Amino acid sequence: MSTRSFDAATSLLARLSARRPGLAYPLAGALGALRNRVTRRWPAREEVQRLFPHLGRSASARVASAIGSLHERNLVLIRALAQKGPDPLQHLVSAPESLLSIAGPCILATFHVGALHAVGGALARFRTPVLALRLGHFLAQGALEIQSTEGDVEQRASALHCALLHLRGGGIVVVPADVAAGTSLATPFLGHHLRLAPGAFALAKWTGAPIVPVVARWTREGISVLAGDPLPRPTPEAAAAWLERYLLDWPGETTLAMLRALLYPELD
Amino acid sequence: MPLSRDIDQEILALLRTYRPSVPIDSRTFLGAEGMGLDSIALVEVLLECEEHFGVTLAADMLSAGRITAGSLIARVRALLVS
Repeated sequence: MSTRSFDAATSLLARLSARRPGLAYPLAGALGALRNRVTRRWPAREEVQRLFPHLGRSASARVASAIGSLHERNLVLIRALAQKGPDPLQHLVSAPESLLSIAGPCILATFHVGALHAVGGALARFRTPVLALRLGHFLAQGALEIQSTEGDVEQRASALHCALLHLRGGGIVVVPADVAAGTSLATPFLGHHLRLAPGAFALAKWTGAPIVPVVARWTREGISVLAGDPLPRPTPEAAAAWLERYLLDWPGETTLAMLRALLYPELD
Repeated sequence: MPLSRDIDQEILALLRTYRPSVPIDSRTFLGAEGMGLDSIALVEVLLECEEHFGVTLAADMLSAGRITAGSLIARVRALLVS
């Protein structure tokens, strides 16, 4: 199959996903794994081993395949969100009651791992009002208050200040922790450096609110949104340590975007 | 109503703690093309002013666009007078 054929299949699956998500997303996963097997790229086994040197040849090949599969599912999900909006996603996403009833003030930190674009599907069901700091199209979901973090320094500061007031009012703020529009904090991570956005840590310092890491993971049934324990300290090092442990347990949840940012920082 | 405090100097002194090496006067922008504060430092400056002077100004100032030392001084002065 050529690259164009794979891309056409992705578009087809995105259209199918609105009517038959239970078929479209597993097929997307299989397509991504096939693409990885055929091309031996996106990512290459050797790239996986550079992040996870403890993995042997076959294990790293399996992880590369899982990352390819994740990438294709996420591509289909992103296209489906762009075409149909967030409603079809609601049936796919599950979250434990302990997460949905989490009390504010609380900062939920998301990362570019797993089915990150599906996190918003759970946030819309929270009992406590949620404000999402958004960069680009991340968390393009309906029932959330969203503050864009794009624009000049005053606009970004305004978004941060809104988040601060929201936390002081007992709300929940969602912050993409590993995407920085301006200043970023390079933190040791899997033998490389993860660039963390400082917003979550500043908000925690100003308000005393805990930082709780949140991830979404594809499952057989759909997508599970999960929370980790609150970080022991509201620092970039603690966030990176949490994410490092998570990816060492679940290396196939590494997204291509994160892998590339870690291995090829000069391309950013 | 005249103010007994030298607000200009208090604010300029506060700003200089953030960028000691940058010459700061009333026309200096706090963000780009001025002090070069990033979004977090900018919020911190405004929070510090709020706490120091006992006023609320961050939301209004940030929604009004680019902030200079002079516009910050004027805002604090207006709030204290009123």
